[in-house]
Amino acid sequence: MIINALYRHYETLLNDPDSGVSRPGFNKVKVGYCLVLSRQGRLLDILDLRVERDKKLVSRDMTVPEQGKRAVNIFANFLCDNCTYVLGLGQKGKTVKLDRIKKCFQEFVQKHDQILGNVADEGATALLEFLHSWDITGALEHPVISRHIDELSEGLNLVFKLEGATGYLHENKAMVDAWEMYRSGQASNINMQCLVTGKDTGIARLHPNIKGVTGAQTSGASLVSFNLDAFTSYGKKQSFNAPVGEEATFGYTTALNYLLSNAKHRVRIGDTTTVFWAECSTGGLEEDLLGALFFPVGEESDAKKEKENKNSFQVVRDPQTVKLMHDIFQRVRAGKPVGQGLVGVNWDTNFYILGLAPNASRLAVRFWHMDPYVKFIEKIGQHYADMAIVKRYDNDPDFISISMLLKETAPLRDTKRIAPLLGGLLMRSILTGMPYSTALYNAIISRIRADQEVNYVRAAAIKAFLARNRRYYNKGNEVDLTVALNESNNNTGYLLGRLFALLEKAQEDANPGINSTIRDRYFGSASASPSSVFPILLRLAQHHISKAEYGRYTDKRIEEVISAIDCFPAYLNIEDQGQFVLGYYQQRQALFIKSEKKESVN
Amino acid sequence: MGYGIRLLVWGNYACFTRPEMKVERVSYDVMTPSAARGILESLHWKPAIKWVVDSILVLNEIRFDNVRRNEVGGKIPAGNVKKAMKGNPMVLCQYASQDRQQRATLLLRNVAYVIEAHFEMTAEAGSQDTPEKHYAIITRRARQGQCFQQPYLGCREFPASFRLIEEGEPLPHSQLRGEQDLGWMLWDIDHGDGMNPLFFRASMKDGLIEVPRVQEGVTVK
Repeated sequence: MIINALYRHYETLLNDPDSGVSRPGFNKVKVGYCLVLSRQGRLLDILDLRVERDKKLVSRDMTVPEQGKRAVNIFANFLCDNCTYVLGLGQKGKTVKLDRIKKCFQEFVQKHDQILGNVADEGATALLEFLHSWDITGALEHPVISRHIDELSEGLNLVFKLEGATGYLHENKAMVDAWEMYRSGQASNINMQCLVTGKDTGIARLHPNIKGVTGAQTSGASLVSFNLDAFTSYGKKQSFNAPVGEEATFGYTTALNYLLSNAKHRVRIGDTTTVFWAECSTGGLEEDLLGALFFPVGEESDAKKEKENKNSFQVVRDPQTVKLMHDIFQRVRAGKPVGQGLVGVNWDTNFYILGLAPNASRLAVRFWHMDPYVKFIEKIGQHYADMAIVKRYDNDPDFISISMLLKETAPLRDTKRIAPLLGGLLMRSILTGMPYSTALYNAIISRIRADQEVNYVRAAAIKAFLARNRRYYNKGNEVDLTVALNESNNNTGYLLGRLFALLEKAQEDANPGINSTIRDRYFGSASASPSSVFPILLRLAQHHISKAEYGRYTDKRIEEVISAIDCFPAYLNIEDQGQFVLGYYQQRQALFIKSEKKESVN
Repeated sequence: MGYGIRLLVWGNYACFTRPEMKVERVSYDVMTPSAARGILESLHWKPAIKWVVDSILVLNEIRFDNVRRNEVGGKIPAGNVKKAMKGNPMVLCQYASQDRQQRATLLLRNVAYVIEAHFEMTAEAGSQDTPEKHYAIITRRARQGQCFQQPYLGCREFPASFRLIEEGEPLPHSQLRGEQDLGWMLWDIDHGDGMNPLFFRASMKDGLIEVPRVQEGVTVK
């Protein structure tokens, strides 16, 4: 299904001239330099093709004849390759035996002989002449090479150009024809039923690499690969274990690479690189909107993040997207259905989300989801409605992005230490509307116990978990979870949380400017085993109350809360611990709001 | 044409691995016909009969989940086993800890299906083998919960529970509504032709997937 959908998307992209995806037999690679040849096949000059991006010179993307897969084998590409193959030069930082370099060069010459041997074209003759007369032992002394040796030995791809001709050699019609001839002769001779198209066709032995998945090898990784014995069966080799036609193989990898290279179609969630696309449109408004919904952070913090992460590009959102997003969030806040009455987006189009995570040279699918677009938006709206909670600071974002949420589960908010499966689990629960994963909830509860910090994001996550569980399992006769303090919630955990917040307030009032409060010492044990902690805290509070200026007032509120508590339970289960956190957080925010009001009255 | 039976199978987990994603496994959305055949064969099979799956009814909503496990990367070479059988000293064990491969699986949670199938007599059938006899065996065994090996849902580690749906008993209700195209799905392996896989275009209507018959090695609608 995944490959089918990608292949269908490739066909859409191919019909769209703006998408720039390659036709079968060609692919996009990064090219650094161009060798200029004379008509007699002498090397005249080397042109720098790199372009500036982020104040750095980087290789330029070019569509060249499709390149093969290379690991330790020697395999030459047609008309575009690195200096070892083209010129027989070693590369910087790599110690390769002279013998091997020689073989690489010979392979390159041989391949071009084979493809261009009978082509009557100036470019072809010049290139062959050049390759035959090239002496790799004396290459370093060549005046043109010695001038450019530093750049060449970086190992970037090289292409060719004929002196005085327009365009590169690989764009030459005669060359393209020769390449297509050669390719049709190379087609796989193993015929099977293709599992994407259902047709009987030549089956690809290897699938092209997928590039751009965070954490995978830079040379790319495979979605379909059989790189060890244990993965094969029925005595079949390589990808004959999964018959995919050559055309389909090319199509799905091209489409996936296109999506991964396009910031509009890609977001990173935890360790999972996520791509999404709409079935019939390539305009990108749907994708842009979804991307914006996953990262609904203010532009300021976005810019900050960009600085930290130089490799990613700043995504410029369409003004239409921004407006739509605004409308959607407004509807979420008002509790209205999101999909109705919004214009500009095709709501009924099928929409796909694919989460990929690397496992060395392979890619694993973390999640795969397909639905009409409007369903996605509704589910995401539901997610944000569940997450809604009173803010701690005014500059807290209205809507918490998924990456912020995941960061809170890791020690020191270190992105690298987020548990690997969490991102996928969270995405799945958001997209299906099912309860959030208990693993996420447990991770947040244990983070709170470890560093005694109850912030906006954590409280929101706990509230969302409890609210959704309640809706899904429909336990009944329980009080709804609200955005702000709910004084009619009689859950023991919630009340104890509120009590704890009040006790902390009493302490702070008694010792203004105190550095560490009871929270730092008792939060974890108070939330897990209240009966062993609260008596101590209440005794302590008496001192604070008598000392504080408005002690009597706090005392009264403590009394109110305690009167609703029957007894201090020996321990709270994990769900009640969440209620505890929620009660603490909401009570604390309520305290601040009241004091602000008091100030403004004065 | 033999007699048809209907078997209800269910389990907590299932993974009907897609051939293209069988390394980092991804399951098909629903049970494949060959997985259904495997379940029937683990209840009762003799060379005299051949199971043919007619349709699969998907009862539960399709839900996915992830797991990541330690597995091994290699197989014990068949050649070594042959050598050992000839009497040459050979090391035939595999050290799992030295050949680790972590593999992820995108599997199905909480599945239930009704398999509708019949069996056909093969050329192996002797004079003792009548359809009535085999029908009686399979229904008796299914009623009593007997099996030759534990039936499983796609992978051996996901056992299947099963129950016979008696003749005349109404089919359980499927939670799925509407028509859904599931793409090309593995029909079975053609052991007569180089063990090549065959695929069919699966579509699900209100949870029901009709399995096509095969004619001359090609699946037809």
